[in-house]
Amino acid sequence: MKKSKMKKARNMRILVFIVVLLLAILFVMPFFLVILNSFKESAEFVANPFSWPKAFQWGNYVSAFNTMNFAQAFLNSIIICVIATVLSSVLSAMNAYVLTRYSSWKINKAVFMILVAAMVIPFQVVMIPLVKIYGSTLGLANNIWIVTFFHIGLNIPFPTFLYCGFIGGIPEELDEAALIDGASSEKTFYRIIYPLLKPITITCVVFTALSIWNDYILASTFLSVKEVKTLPLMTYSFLTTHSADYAPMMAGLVLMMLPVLILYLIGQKYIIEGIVAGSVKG
Amino acid sequence: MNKKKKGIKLFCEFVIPPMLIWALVVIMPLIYGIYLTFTDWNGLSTTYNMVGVQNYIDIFQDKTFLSSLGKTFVYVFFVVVLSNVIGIALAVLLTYGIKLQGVFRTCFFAANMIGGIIMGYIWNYIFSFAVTKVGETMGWEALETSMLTKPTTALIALIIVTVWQMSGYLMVIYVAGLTNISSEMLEAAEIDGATGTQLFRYIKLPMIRSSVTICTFMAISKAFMSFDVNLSLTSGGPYKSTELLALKIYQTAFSNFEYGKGQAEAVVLFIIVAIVSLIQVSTSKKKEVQA
Amino acid sequence: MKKRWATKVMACAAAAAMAVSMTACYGVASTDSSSSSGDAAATETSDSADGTASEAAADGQTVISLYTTLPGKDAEFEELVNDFMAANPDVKVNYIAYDSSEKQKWMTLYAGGQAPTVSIMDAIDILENQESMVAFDPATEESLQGIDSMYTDVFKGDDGQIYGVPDTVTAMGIIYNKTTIENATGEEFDPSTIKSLSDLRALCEKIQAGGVAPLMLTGVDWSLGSHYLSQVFTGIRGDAQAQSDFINEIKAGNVDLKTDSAWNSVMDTFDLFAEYNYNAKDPLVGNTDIDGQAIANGEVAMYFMGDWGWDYIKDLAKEGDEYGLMPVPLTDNADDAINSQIGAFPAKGFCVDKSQNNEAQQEAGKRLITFILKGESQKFADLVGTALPFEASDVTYSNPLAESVKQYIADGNTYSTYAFSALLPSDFWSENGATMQQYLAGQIDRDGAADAIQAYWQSQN
Repeated sequence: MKKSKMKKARNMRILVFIVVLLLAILFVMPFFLVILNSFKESAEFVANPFSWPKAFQWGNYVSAFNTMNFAQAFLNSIIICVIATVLSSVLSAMNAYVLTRYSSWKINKAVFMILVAAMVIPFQVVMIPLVKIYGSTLGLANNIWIVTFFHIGLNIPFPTFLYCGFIGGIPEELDEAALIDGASSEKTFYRIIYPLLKPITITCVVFTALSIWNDYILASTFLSVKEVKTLPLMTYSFLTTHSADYAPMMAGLVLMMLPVLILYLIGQKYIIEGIVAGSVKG
Repeated sequence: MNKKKKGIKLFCEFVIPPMLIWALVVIMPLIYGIYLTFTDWNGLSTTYNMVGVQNYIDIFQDKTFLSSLGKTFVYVFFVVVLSNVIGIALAVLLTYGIKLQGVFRTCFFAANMIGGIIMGYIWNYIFSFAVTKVGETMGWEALETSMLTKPTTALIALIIVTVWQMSGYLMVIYVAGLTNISSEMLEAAEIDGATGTQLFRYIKLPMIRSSVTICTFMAISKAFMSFDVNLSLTSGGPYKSTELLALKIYQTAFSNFEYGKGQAEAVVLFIIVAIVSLIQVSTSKKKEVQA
Repeated sequence: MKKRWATKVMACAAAAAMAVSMTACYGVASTDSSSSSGDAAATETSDSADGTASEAAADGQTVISLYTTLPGKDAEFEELVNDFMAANPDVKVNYIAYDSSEKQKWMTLYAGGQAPTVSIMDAIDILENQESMVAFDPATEESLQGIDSMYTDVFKGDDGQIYGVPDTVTAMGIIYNKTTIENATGEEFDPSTIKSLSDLRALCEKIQAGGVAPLMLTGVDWSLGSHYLSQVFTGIRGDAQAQSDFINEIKAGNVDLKTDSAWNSVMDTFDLFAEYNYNAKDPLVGNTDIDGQAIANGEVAMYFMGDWGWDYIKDLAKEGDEYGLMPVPLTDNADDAINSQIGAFPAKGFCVDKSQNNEAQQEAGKRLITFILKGESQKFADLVGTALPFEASDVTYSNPLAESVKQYIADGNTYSTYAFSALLPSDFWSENGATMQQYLAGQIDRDGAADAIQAYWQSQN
């Protein structure tokens, strides 16, 4: 009786595995095509995107590296992404801590509501005004620090929202015990609470970093000189009028994707953990 | 009293700085942007005139805006429903305890690792040439012509790509919700003889209800603002039949030199998304409580 | 351990926050005094190191910028700019590359106080913003010398002044692969024998009998709506004045396009294209790379495009195949001169901003235009791949289609495309391109298309 049940469960597991495998293949097909075609000549790609490369064109990677001004663009992307991600998640955690611990205060309720509402503001509404205020009036165009600053501001609402759910699940007694020991509220947060937030921090970092890394529209409005351009902007160097230099572009995409993939693989375990813990409170 | 004082100090230190940065980056431009909707600025000139609410009146008399709005609703509806259903399904399959679970999760999430514009170009190619090649080889007539050249199928293609990308994103959140359900509960139910579907219907689904609220909210706001895939996959074509609102705004503001009007359209979009998500969040919160 | 990790993060965060605000201040300061010591090269490297490309330049240098909307030519433009700076040490040029949408980028540059000194834009975009542009004096402006007034006229504003310098002359027409045609028909092909719609039809029948698809359209809105459709409003109406009059009439609602003979004859030719279209099975796919491949491989003989279309073909063109560009026969009367003439027009134009650039910058900008167009003619011709707007006997073109265009111009076989460049509004191609696509896909009939186009014009008042 028990044996047959176990057997059934195993069969079921194999079935699920096959289904998932097929779905996964379907899902990653575009990536497979990107990687496959990054080794072809452009004409070969246009002729048949499914064919196996006649000869592996590693030169595509070299030319992508040069055309994209990769080293400089990568550096710019990394600076913006790392600083903005770290700061936005720290600031959001601090924000969420007060919003949750003093959630009975009317002002905190209001702040929380405003932040949630702000998550639905289309970027187009603020884009040109942002350029007028910061670019024209303050003369900060072509400055990667101001772009970093914008990314911090734009990435306050969503992480705060995630942190609020998580912090709500941490018993308040923990804070109180620390306070009785004579620690200040700030110290309590940095020493006791913040380390406990690690899983959700990693979740926020991955989501935020991804959106910043792939950001095209904000960067394109502020960064127009080659020296300050980020990777997504540089992928446009492959497009020509109504046509594109596909093969090196694909190689460029692969180069751009690698760092994100690595970040995701490192963070993956924690992402799930973070959201699990976050949704305790919901 | 003491606690209150401490709270105020903490508020100044912890809430004011992030909110200040946010206000500088979002609220200040937003207010200025709303002001610009009352002008006829073309986006480039040094001068402009105040035109009152003329831009808003124009929008609602503009048939193309209204038809674009209608299409946007259709698109949002299917994207929200499909990406959530697929997201949940993937999450259920990926918490089943099969081998290589982590690798699979990465595969499904991978769509979020490339920016939308580039992704749209790649899919454009897939729909126009890869899919038609498959259709030709297999002799499937429906696939022999590109999906992107007929209005209905082009909208379907747009939905497919968005769902493909979003369901992986939502899956991560659902996986978390499902992992959260205690295994004791499931085991107890199984001993009581519950079938797989019953387990899902009566245990898993109610337990992830709060994830559903969050995911639906995110899907709605993302779908309404969907712009880059629209631009690079169909660029509104064929003959403007798939021009969704966010792309329409972009075209008005940047291709036609009607910046004031485009900005007004964006404000209208903001109001619509805000209302829709408010209704969604409050109704699902109510349901959560009932459940 | 954990505590230390957290404090470290906080410390870094604080430091970074400081850095951000400091740079913000620095950024303001540096634009206030736009000069700093050290030579330009040294400044450039330090700029990139601290993440800002400020406009710092050596003492006395005029800093200008060049914005181009010719994608994929960045390296070539940068070389031209460097050559210019070497020849003009008193000027520093910041090169701003196109990234996705030429107008969005242009507008954000203007909104951000970074209005480019020199921009290369479509004529209509320049004219719609003429109050920000420098007017050129055709009598004295060096870069305009030798350029036919037919090309400069399209940059003429309401006030009769010239606001742009044509960059190149390009032409729409039928690209033919002479080798393919001759192989299919077995006879020598001379494009000048195609003088009417009937001639083209006869040729198509012969080519088809030879087993090759005769014609091809790329079903995209810019090609159908902007290029093909514009032929209804250009040379077939007569000179610039006649074109302008016709457009005023149609705007005023005094024209019934459905019964207009020019509209009907241009559309008759379009129907022939649609009938023999290589892409007829799925006419709106619209991928120039695939289409370029089809004509290069000899699968199709003729292609409605323009001399710029060489870009889509050149990488795949077979050794020894002969290509050329010929006029689209717009009527069925072999005596109509228009059928032997090509519609040549300036592709884009250089304009100089005066709203955010001072006189020294404007002057340097003009020098840059002259340098690119006149000083480095060959390099610039190689870059754009199409004919220059003036007689330059020493310049050669690697693009055989540009050679065709040059020949038509030299023989005086061109008609005016004034309306195409200067009178069609910015959204003409997207709005009417949609109508033409519907027509090509069989969604609407010819009268329906005429009504939609007429309605578009009447809404332009």
